[in-house]
Amino acid sequence: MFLLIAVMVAGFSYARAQKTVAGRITDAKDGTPMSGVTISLKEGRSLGFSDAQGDFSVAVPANTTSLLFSYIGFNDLELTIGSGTMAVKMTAGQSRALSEVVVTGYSSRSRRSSSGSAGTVIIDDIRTQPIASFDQLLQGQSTGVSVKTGTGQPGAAAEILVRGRASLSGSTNPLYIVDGVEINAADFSSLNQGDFETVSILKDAAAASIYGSRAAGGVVIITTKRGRPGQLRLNYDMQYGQSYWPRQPLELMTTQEKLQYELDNGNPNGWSAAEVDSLGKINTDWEDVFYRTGITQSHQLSASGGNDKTRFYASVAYLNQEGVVKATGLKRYSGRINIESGTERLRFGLNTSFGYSIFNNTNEGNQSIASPLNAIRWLLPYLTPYDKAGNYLVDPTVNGQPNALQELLENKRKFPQWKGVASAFVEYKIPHIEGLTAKTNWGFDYTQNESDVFLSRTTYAGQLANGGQGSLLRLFNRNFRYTGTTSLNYKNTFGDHDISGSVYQELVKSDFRQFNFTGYGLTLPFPNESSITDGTATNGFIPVVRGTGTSNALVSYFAEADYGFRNRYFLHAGFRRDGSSRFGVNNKWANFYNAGASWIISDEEFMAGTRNVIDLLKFKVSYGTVGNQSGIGNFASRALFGKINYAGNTGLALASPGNPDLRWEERSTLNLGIEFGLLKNRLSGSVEVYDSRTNDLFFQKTLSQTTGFTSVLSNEGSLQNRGIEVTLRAQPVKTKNFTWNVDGNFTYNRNRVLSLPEGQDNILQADGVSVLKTGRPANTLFLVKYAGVDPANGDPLYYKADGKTITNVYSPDDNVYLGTSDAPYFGGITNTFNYKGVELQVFWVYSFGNEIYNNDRFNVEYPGYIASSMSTDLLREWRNPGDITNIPRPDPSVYFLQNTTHFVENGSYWRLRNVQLSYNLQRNVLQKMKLNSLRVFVQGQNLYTYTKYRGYDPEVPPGGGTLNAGAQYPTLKIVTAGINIGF
Amino acid sequence: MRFYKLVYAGILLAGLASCKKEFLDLKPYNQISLDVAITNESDMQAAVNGVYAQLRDIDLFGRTLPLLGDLLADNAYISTVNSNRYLPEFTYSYINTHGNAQNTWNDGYNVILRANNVINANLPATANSNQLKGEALTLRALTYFTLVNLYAKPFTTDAAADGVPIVLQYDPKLKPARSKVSEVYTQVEKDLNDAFGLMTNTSKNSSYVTKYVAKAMLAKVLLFKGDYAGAKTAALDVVTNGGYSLTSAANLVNYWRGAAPLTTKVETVFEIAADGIDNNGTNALAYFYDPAGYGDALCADDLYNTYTATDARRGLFNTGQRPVGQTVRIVNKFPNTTNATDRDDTKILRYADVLLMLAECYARTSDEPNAIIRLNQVAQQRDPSFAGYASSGAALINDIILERRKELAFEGHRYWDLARLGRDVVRVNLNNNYPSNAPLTLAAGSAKRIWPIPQSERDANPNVTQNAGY
Repeated sequence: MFLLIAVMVAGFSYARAQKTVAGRITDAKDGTPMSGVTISLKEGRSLGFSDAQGDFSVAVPANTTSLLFSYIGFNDLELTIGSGTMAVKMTAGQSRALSEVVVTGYSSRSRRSSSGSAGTVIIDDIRTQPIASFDQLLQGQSTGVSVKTGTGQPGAAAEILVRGRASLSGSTNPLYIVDGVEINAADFSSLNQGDFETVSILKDAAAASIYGSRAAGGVVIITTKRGRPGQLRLNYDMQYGQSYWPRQPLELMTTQEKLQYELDNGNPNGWSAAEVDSLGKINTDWEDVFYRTGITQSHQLSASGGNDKTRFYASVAYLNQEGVVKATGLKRYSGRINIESGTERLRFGLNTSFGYSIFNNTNEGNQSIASPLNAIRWLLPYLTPYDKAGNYLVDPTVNGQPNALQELLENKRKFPQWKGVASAFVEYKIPHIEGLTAKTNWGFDYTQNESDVFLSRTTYAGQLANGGQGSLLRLFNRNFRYTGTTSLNYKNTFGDHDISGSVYQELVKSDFRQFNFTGYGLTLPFPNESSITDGTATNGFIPVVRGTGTSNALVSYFAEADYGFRNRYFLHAGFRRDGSSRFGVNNKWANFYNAGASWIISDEEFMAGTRNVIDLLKFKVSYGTVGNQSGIGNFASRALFGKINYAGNTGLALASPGNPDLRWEERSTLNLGIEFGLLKNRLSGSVEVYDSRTNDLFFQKTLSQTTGFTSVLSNEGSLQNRGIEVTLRAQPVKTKNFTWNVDGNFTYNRNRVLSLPEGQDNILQADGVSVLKTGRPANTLFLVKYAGVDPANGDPLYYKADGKTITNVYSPDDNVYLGTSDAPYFGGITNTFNYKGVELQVFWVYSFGNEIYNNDRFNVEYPGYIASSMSTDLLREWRNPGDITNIPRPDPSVYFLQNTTHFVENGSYWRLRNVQLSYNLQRNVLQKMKLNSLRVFVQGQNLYTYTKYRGYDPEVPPGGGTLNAGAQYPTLKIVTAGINIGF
Repeated sequence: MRFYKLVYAGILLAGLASCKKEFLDLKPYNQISLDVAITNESDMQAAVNGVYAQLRDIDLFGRTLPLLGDLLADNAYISTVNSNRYLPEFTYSYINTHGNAQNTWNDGYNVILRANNVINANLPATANSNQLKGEALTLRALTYFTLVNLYAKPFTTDAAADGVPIVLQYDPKLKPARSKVSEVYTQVEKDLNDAFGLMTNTSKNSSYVTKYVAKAMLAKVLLFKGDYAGAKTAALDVVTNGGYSLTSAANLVNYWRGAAPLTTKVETVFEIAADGIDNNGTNALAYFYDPAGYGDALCADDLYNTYTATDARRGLFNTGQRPVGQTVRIVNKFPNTTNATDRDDTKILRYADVLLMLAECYARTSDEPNAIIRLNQVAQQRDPSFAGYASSGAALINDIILERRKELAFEGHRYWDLARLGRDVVRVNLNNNYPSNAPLTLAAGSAKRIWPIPQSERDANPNVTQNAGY
């Protein structure tokens, strides 16, 4: 490590004839200094960025006459070098895509020189989408990033896969870093995306490898807003709107149809003619009973200001999003202060944020009759939620289900979360050695969760509790994680040579504690602790008191180096060594490396003739490794005794077998890419191909059960993800008053299981419908092909494994491999139209090529469930010889469709994710109003979805995997209007 | 320059501090490593509790084992109205992937693992640590005895047949082959004899093992071997020195109604406890017999008819209808399914069992007067109006076996009596209320008399052979 520093330090003795150019960069509109502006030579070589005060000082070859300034969202500016400092005034407008800065977390570099694959999300384009959990906003924003929102429950986290599913038993979540601090994936409901400034998603090894053993799922890097020097600027942003539930194509029988169906099939509920008559007058739409129009509103007040030494950004925000299911929703209160101060040489910064959210939810993704979201499907259309006296109706049928409205309204499921994220850094430019900087950044992520689950003694769930008189679960947990990174960075230019290098040392430690109790006998009218009956030896209300805790730690040493020649040829290399408390004693330390190269071919002499057409053409290649260590628990490598109770006494028992060889999953990725800009950058984009393999997958390897255990977590098997990613940006129309921009991305990812443990070839999964099979993608469905109904007798028919023979005997031996539930093709397209300050942005997302097992349908088609609500499909069931249909005769004993393709549906969809119409007031009007800016907008979220999938949403809930188990919370349709005012 | 030095010093310090090994060497919050567990008597006591707790598992004595002893035999049957549980057992249609056969195997070896960890703990020998080690030895013996009966041929049929693998040390890499039945019995006897020498005759209550629990269990093991002289000595030792007694006929129903372990040494020699918090809930044995629970298993009518009107044991059955319209006998030995404060324990050994074993051993060793005394001691205690047995020879043996059937019904013993005696199972479907596919006989030599070795074990451990017929 010190050798590297020595080499870097020695570098400065090779300096050539150079001169230094300095100046200050400001926004032409209001004169505020601009930081992070890229300063480059005319032919493209990047020299550096402006600092926090907008100042820059760059060394250029002695013969340089002009400099190029570029910044995202601003017009590129070329200025001649004069005498003295330069005054650079940038005007807002169209920027060159490739002048962006790629924030890689530990460092940032220009996109031009980057050889890795990283997606930059234009946060301003998506910030105002009325979604409470930021991770859901990433959908359709970047190639290679598959985002399944899965649920419309406000504040729920999304499932994100970066370049395919790279783990089978471990976690596939990306690593989230906010201002240098690791953040829990599930906590975005307590973070305010209004404070975010840049978001990058690191996808390949060259970009993500510097995060080592945590980076196999990709890395999402977020930086929050920094103050802008100048006079105080106040912004107020608000929006208000409504959310609706989507109608969906799984139709249920109406009252008349259902009663007739029951009478035709043995009258299982035993209705008399008079009852049929009176029930026939009722036709309850259970969606109307459980759903409502939800209100969404958000307010944010932010302030920014400072001078050339000190600057700050501060905000407070409030969000309230009601769910469309009654009694559900999210409220969030958040605040932030970011301060930065210092001198030319020494800088200090502090970013702090606080969030408090209250999440009221309802159960989803299960098949419980106590789940209101199942009741919407299963309740009979001729029942009502209340009886004539206004009390909750008790289901009079034989299979009487609990009153789900009562379950929803009388029970409470409340989950408050407190979150504090803070980080501070000190940066020191070491004197005497030009370009050498020392930096240390320390921060923490504190999360505190509570659960407050009240089950009333009047409800079904409450009567299942100990003592049958309701229960109250109160749970408290907190997680504290700190991240400390200390680095030495060197960056300098010697003639045609750009050199930079850094060495780092990092500590991450996470500590979790939890306690909870469940009290019983809620016999008083309080929906809280006051109602609990003290437990005695005889009353059956002894409360359950529990607690737990865990921790993990990571120590890392890493380094990266970049070399650029003539700003055309770039080389990059990095190395990281991680020691993790999770790994087994025999494999404590993991090494990761990466290397990359890029070449700006368009700057070559031989390309001079094409410059009218080709603005930029760049090739890049990278290879490297990353690891995964999450999703396995903190102590999976150790043989441990855990607690167990016997006869009122505590006991200990060996609870895990231990594997001292347990190590990380290792993912290696080869990435090739082309980036281009054509026709004065009216058309730009990139094409990348990648091939990644994950080896040493976490796997529960079976043991001889005579050891006392059935399996041990080991590293076995491998997996491959290969893909193509295409990004295109075009500006088909550009006139003085009107512009039209198209921004699209497309990803194809092919997932394949390469090997499974110990020669196993076909491992059935716990969901009962999917399989792991070498050569096939993860989550491949494995079911018998349904061949329809025998017209002669109404028996269901199946294809034998050969695919040709038809039989009426169901056998799992005839299972065949079907598609996967992970969509291989997906992406997003944004069209933006601007006319004199009016902007229309239309954002589509699409996903296709996957199959979903629709279990929701089974529960309303299985003839054994005749006592509850049923699908209209059964109206065309086989009744008489000669009937041609695909629904067999209603006999539960011959109905073996559950594990057949009858319930497999195409999961493809395209969706109008967001459409937004906004108007920015013109400058002259603003000046009269004494405002800096005023923007008004209306937007619609998820207004239209095209899919053949017959359920609420083709994005099945996270954790559901291949199977939409049931109780799906539909994705919301939201319409809001808002205003952004700058004072 | 001073600050410059400070920063460097700071960086170096941060770098050095992290190099410490302890940073990565974290201690689990609620778990303790194998190498430091069981280093004192208090932890050893906890680890022994852990062995007991696993025996409560639903596929061990929590449900499957006490149920099988009656369901595989002629005492219990599954109603035509059922929850689809234990039908393969009732119809003798289990195959090598049968779930219960797999779980009992896993869970049984998990008990053995837990017991091994106690037995191998390196603690100084004190009265306390000896007692705890003795308890673990007894529970290990109980588990091996159970497994060898389930998965291997009876000792009395073929002692040289493949038994089950003997594992006495924890080693996750182990892939052991099956030991002979006789070898497993030798290990079981050794453990019980060692345990007897280590323990005292006092315990907290009947849910813990004492030296006479080990001795009573030894009597049973020897009886299963056909070593009647040895079994007699052991059983007589329990009767003479154990301090156990029978309850009165008037109190019998109350005895079964009580769910708490006893300190009185009345009736119960050893049981596995379940309580209001730690219990198997709807997976408990009691729930399977309770018509308000699953209520799937019912009492065979011919068994019920063996109890006279004056027999107190008749009070342990209710009459009900299942399906509606069909009168059936319902087992009410375990009436605490909905008791919020305590649940039914599983009786492993009762004093009546010991007395009847003693009676059988006397009869087999040509001491019929003593056999009659011990037999009537039980029979007349239950039915004070009963004049007593006065048979001899084979009739006496049959009377003892019948009395065992009546006394120990629904406690999981009947099938194993038939197994050790090499008798066929003959079910009497008296009122034709069994499911139509219920087999009425299972011959002594049938492959289905023992369970298959689970296929999952054979996949992971090719050294284990399969039983014939699977």
